Amino acid sequence: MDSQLKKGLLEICVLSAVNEEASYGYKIMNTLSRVVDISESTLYTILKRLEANNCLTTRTQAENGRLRKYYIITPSGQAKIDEFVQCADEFNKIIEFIDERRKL
Amino acid sequence: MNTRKEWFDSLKKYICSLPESEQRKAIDYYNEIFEDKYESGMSESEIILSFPSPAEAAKSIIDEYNQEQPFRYKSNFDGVSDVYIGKENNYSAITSDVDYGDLQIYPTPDDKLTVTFSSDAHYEISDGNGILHIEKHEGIKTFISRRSLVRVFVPTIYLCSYTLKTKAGKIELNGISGEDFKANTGAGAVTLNNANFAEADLYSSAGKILVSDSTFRELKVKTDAGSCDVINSQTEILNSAVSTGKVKIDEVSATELITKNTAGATELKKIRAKYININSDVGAVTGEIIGDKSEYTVKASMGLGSCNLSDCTGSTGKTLTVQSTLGRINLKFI
Repeated sequence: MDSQLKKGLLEICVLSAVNEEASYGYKIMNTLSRVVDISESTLYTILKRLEANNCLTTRTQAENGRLRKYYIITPSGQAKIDEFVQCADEFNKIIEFIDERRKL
Repeated sequence: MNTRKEWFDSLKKYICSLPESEQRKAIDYYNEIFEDKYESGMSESEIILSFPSPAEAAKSIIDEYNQEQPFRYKSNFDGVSDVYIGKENNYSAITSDVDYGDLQIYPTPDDKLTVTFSSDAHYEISDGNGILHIEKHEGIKTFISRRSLVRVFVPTIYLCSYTLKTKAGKIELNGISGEDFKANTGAGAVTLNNANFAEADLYSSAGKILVSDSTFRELKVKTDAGSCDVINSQTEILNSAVSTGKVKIDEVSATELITKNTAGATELKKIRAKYININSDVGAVTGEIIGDKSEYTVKASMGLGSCNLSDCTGSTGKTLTVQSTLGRINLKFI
């Protein structure tokens, strides 16, 4: 898949994975593994970008004698999910259209 | 690459050029995932196998870091700062399009490519396909009257090509080696000192070009109304063209030296060259050639101009061709 398009979708996936409650790297990967294969290095760049764009904040806390970094969604992260959901209809129409033309 | 230590040591080596805090972030991230996978029951070697290779991991870390830089400098920029770009092998070319600012390029002793801004203007740096672009935003008119400076520090063994443009600013290169160099300035100045390029192509419309203590395979200099000096340098081919300005070539050794002078003045001093071709329309050419006249086969073709040389057949395969329509040519052998 086109890497920019995929990255954009993965960003929404990662935001959704932390939407209910704060989560950490490995857990996010596991949550997403149900829908999409995401490598450690891809997740790293996505988390970093989302943090830089203020869609996520982080909190580091000690657990089982080691540090764990939690990612927390921000209002602008939530707005990003909402925006995507609002466009979902349009996406579906685009996919339908592409599929239709493919069968012609 | 089987153990945790090997994997992390290797990653650290790949990303050692990044700022400390960036390295820390990346190492912490992978450490945490390692621990989590270990706690979930995977063995050390299984985890390493599931990880990307250290090189792949490093590439995405460095790429992401580099991408953040232009983002930061796209925002309103005021003051003095610098930005670390990446390792030298990330880039094969530097281009600039700086309208009214000055641009200086220097070698740097460390392995890092750095851009320093000293400016009250808005610059944008961006990269793609191994090319680093430095541009000035058109922006607000009042910025134009003010000066701004961009300094680029390049690793010493940085083989790359440079294409630098400025309308009214100065371009300066000091101690830089590269494949090819193109400079284009309107009313500004181009200065090359202690440079080493396979090919250099310098053009100034009304400005000043100065080349000194440098080595080239092929050097082309062209000025319309400006001046051009090439001093104490070596090149296989030197091609100079001047319209109404002034060209001075001093202590230069070349295999082939071609100067074309329309209405300007060309001054040659202490020239060593096997093939010399001097062409002047209405301007004056004066010069000194190291050697004896008998070494050269001289062909002088004069219109209404004057020339102090007569045709002769030399003995060593060196040729000197002079052509003038209305100009004066005065050469002597020293």
